[in-house]
Amino acid sequence: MSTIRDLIDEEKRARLIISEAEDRARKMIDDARRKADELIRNSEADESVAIEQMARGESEIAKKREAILRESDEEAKKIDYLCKRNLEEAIDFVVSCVLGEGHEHGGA
Amino acid sequence: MEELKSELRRLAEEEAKRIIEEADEESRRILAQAEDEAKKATERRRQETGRKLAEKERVELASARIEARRRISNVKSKYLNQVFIEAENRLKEIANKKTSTYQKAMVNYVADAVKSLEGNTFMIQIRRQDQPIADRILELAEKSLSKSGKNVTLKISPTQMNSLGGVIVHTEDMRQYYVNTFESRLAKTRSENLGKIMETLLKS
Repeated sequence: MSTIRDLIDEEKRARLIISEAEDRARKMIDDARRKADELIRNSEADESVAIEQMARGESEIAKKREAILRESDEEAKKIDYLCKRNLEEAIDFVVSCVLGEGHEHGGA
Repeated sequence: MEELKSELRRLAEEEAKRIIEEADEESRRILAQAEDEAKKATERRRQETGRKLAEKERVELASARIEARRRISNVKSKYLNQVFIEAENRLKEIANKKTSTYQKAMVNYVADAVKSLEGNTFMIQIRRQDQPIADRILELAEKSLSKSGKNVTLKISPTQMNSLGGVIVHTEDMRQYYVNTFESRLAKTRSENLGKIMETLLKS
């Protein structure tokens, strides 16, 4: 036969079960908070993504820069060719301007 | 009594289960929130890096465009200078040989200068090397001016000029003067005909 004492013991056991559950719950939440802090800290400290992004971006910029300079070098070569070919004509034009041969006269 | 004890145990276990379930749910919420913040931090960093890259690109490409223009401009300047150096050499040769072209140009230089000045008597400064052709030039210039209705007296100035060629014409009182030398005409040609010269050089 159960007695009142048994009932009190059972109540104590019940309280212990709840108390243990509360301890476990606190530990679970503490663990979660610690993991969360670590996750955020790691994420903020993680430079690898930015470094990779920067390296990729800088490589793209370098390619664009090279393309601009390559294009200007090609343009410079074309200009060099044309100027070489037309040099005599330009010299004749200047000489004839200075001598006033059919061009506007100079003087000051 | 047994039933009561059993009920107590059941209630305690139920409560314990509820407490653990709630803790589990809270833990998941905390971790999910942390993951969200971590993602946001990564995104912020990505955007910040993107901004840095955009600025770097703007500066580097602007510098590249300046460099590109400088390279092209250097080629054009090189040939433009070559045109004037070579033109100067040819003019020196023409002046030193005193060719008919030079003499004709000198006559025109004198006539043009006189037309721009006021007065009837003008002094003409020439190079020492041009002394042998001076009288002939003055005579032809006077004739040319006379044809255009301007009767003037031209005299050779005792002061000789140091120049590649051409003349400096001034009034007797030296208040007015007109520099019509190769140097002045080259400078004027450069400033007034730069576009035309470049157009000639770059003609396809």
